Amino acid sequence: MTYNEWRDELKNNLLSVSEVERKRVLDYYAEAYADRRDAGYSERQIIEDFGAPYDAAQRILLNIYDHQDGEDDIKYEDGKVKKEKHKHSDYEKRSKEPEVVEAEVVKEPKTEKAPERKNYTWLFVLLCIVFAIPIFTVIITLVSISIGLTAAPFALIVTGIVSIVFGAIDCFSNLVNGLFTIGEGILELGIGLFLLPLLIKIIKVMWKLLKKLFNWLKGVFSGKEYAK
Amino acid sequence: MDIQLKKGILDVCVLYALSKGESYGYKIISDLEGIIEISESTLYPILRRLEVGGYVVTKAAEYNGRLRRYYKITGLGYEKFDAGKTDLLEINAIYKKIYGGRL
Repeated sequence: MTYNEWRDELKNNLLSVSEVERKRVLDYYAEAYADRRDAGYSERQIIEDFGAPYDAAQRILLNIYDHQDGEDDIKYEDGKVKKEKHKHSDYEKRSKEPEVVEAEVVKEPKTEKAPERKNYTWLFVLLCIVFAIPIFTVIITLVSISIGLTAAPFALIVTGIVSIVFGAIDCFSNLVNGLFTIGEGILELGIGLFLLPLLIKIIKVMWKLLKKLFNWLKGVFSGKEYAK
Repeated sequence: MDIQLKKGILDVCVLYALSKGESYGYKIISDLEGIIEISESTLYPILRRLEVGGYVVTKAAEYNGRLRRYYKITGLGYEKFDAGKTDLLEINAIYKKIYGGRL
C-alpha cells in the first residue's frame, strides 16, 4: 500500500465527520508523513507506524482518550484547583479553527537518519510452524474423543435393541439362548440410555474447549496492539 | 503497559514534551521516545482534546515550503501538567505499598 492509498482509505473512513475536521486530520498525517520522510523513514515504515487506516479513523471518531462522565477537568477557582464533573465532550462541536499567523520560515537543524528497523516477520512465521503441530494434535484428539464418545452410547442402544429382537426370535428355537440374548440386549440398552445424557454433557464441554481454542488462535493471529 | 493506565499518562507525557517549548507532531513523538512509546494515530486525538480543553494552542507556520502545525502549552496546560505530577506520585506510592518497591 502506498501513502496515497493509505490516506485515501483514511479519508473514506472519516466521511462521517465534518469536512473541516477531515481536512485537519489529513493535513496532520500529511505533515507527519513529510516529517518522517525528512528523518529518513521509508514509505513502508511510515505506513506501518501509522497503523491501519481504519484503526486510525476509529480513534479519531471515537476519541477514545476523550473524557467519559467523571472528574477529569481541572478548573482554577479562587486560587484552588477544583475537579469538576462534566459530560462527555464533543470536541468536534467545540473545536475552533486554528489561528493562522503570518507565514514565517522556521529553520530547523537537519535531523539524523532514523536507525534501520529490524524485521522479525521470519521469527513469527517460524513460531507459527512450530506451534501449529501440537495445537492441531490437540484439536484432532478432542474431535476424535467427541466422535468416539458420541458413538458409544448409540452403539449400545442399537446393539441392545438388535439383541432383544434376535433374542425374541431365538426363543422359538432355543428358549434359554433366546432369553439370555434378550437379557443381554436389555442390559446394553439400559447402559446406553444411562450413559447418553452424561456423555452429551461431556461432548458439550469438549466443544466449548475447542471454541475457546479457536477464539484464542484467532486473537493471536489477528489481534494488534491497540495503542503504541 | 495496560491500556487504561496508559491513557491516563499520555496527556501528561504530551504536556511534558510541550513544557520544554513549542513543538510539532513528529518532534513530540521523538522527544517522548525513551519515556513512552506513542504513534501519530495515538497522538492526534490527544492533541485535539488538549486543544479543545484549552491546555494547548496551535498555529501553522511555513517550513521547507509546506505548512507545519505547532503546538504550545498554555497556563491551564501547565496546571494540568502539575496535577499530573501529583497523580503519578500517588501511583508511585501505591506501587511501593503493593510491590514493596521491588521490581
